[in-house]
Amino acid sequence: MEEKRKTYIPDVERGIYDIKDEENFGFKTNSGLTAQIVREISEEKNEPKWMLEARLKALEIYNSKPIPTWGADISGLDMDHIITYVRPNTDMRHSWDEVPEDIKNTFERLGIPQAERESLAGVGAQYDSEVVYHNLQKELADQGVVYLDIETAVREYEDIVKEHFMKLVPPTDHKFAALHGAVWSGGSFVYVPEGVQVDIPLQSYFRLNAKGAGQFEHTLIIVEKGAKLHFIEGCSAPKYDVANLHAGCVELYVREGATLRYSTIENWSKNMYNLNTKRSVVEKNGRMEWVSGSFGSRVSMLYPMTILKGERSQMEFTGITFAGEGQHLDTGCKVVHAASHTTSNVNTKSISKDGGYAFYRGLVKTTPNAENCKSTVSCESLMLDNRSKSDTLPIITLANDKIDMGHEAKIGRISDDAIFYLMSRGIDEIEAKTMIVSGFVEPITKELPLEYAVELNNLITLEFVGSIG
Amino acid sequence: MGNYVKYRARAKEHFEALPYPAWKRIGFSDYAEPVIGREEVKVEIHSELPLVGAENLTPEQAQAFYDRINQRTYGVNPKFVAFSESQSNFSKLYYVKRNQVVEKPIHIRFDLSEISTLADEHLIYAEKGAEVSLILEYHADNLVREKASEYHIGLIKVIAEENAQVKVYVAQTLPESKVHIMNAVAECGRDARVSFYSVNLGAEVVASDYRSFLMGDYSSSDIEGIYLGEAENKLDLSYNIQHYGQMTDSMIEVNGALSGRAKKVFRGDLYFHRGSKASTGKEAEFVILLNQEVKADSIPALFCDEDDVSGEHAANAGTVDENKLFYLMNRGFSETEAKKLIIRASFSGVLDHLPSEELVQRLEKELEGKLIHV
Repeated sequence: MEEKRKTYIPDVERGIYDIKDEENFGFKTNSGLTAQIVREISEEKNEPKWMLEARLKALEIYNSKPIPTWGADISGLDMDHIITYVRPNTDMRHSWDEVPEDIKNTFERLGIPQAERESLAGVGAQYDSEVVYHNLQKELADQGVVYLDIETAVREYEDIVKEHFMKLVPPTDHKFAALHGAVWSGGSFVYVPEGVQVDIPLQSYFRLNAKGAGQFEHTLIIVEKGAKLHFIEGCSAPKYDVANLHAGCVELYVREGATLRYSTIENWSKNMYNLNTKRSVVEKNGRMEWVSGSFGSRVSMLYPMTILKGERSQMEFTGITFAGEGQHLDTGCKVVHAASHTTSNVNTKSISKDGGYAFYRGLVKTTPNAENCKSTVSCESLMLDNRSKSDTLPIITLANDKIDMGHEAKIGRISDDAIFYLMSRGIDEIEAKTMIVSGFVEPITKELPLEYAVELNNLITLEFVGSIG
Repeated sequence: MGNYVKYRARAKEHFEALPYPAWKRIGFSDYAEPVIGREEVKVEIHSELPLVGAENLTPEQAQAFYDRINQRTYGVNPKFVAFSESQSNFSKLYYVKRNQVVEKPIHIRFDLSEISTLADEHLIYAEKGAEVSLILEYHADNLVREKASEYHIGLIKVIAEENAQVKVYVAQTLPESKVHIMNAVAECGRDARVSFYSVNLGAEVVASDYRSFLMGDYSSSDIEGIYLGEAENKLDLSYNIQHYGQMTDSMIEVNGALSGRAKKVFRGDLYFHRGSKASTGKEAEFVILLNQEVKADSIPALFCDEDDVSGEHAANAGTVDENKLFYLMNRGFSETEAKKLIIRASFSGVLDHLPSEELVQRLEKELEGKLIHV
């Protein structure tokens, strides 16, 4: 009897991500977390006093909060051994030529400078705890667009930062938000003034090279009235045998009539605990678009939240999760309809294989005064073998009657009927399956930045042999 | 006999060790503890199957009902399961022998007008190829006094052996002063089919959990429910199907309407365990919201450890469909009549399944009285 061959879908090609640089830092804190370490970080950054106070307050909150027991297992994370701050051995540069060779090579491999030349309006690159490169096209700077590393922004735009920093995600939100508040370092600050349309995307890339370290970057974006921005965030790290932690925080303010698209491609290595918090508040007629791809990390708990605060504001979430061997990706999306005539549209897909565990956890909530809201949520999960797990848990809470809310979810493997149909049209089995899986992720891939969409498609078409399951 | 006493004593120990639960989402906590009084249970029983008390269980049956099933998690809370097991003031064994078909549904009608707490326990044992239907009706139409603690705490356990078919209908039209707690669990053998139909048209608080374990290959289970929440009603409704066997099939469908300041939580779980190959499951929830101040939460979950399955869920919530309303009003119905008709239509899935015409009429009458304010 001919041996039955199984489809093998490899992981995302990680070669370039896994190249480690030698650790060559200017300063790093001891591992663990104490008030002394928080003071050292603040001093190292030459911060205003209010920021140090906010950090110490957050540390207190961190110590008082229990470790969450729901969701993914994070017991492999030992905070006493995480190094919270690693400063690379360079200052921030505005030209790649001035960035030290080893760091520059890392970003070259990741294709960041090339992408900047070809398709981006501005780039920020963070290496371990500090931003090493930041640049913005002159035309945009002339229109008043601010794109800075957040440390500089704390000094140069102190009022704006002070008014918005950790207001949307207060340290009291949860334990890791408090941790972030205490030891945050690096990240980007974007300010788009009223009416300015930034047509070409800005990108920040976060690279964690140090072993056993944590990355706690803070992204703060304010898009003023009628303005428009597309921001791309990319993350990666080489693989180590000890746990690394990413507890970043993203705060997005979308003002009246403004549009913000926030794309994230997260490809952390599989020793990473990705406990990130993202939140956006959208005012009247504003529009928030999330595009989220989760491919890497060992454990992810990531639920970007949108608060539709103004009337007729809109939110769209497009997400894809790919959980491979040893991964537990607990992802989802939260939306609060807090004003009338608001709409939300959530569309997620997940694929799990080789014992991977993909969990969709979502929340749609309306407040009593939010009338005539519309919400549709659709989640689809595809399992490629029966060692994997895939769960869906959407929570819907409604507090008034003038609502139109729909939710649907599907789970399973590729249907034999669909394959039969395609094969009866003369397409061979492998091609049929490739078509079905490509079709499954197509609504998402078309929203991804091009290079990531290509990568995902390659992943699906590669080695589609034998039967699935 | 000896065994039953032993199990009852053990349940009492469990009961005493456990705390009373609190329902956070519907805001039901710090309630008065249910106490079994000395009042007689008023009940009408129509059954062609001879019924006996639970003390007549054979040792094997007792083992199945109290040891095997209790190894699983089920019920709204173990405290209330243990309450019914240890202190029930009504318990019956429905023992349907191999290939026996009970043609006429067994109909048990409880009158809770004069009793402070009813804790009833129904043990259904359907042997290979047996068929039986059970209707449980709870009302308090002759209510003479209001009491602070008035509970109905029900427990239904079904064991359906190979190819057995069991249908259980639970309808309650209790008054505002009552708390209705229902724990129902079924274990299905190969080719067995168990259906639960629940109708909730009353009670101030409803907390229910209907759960089927599809253990045998080709077994199937349907759970269908309708509910109407009004005034300050609180409903926490849980429906759960666990697929273990291969080629198993399940469906959960719940339709409801909420008015006044009613709060409702729907929890629907479909769990495909590893090995439940080629199984399918569907769950759907539809709720019509009739007032600004209602609160409706839905938590439909799919858990999947097996790839060769197909699971789907859908939830839909909203106000009465304007197009339907317009169409009906166009045909001369008043707005209230049209709304009633739309709600009644959404309930027909369950009402049309009920095998007792009398019961349907009583429920229709109850609905008519309830929907005055829409």
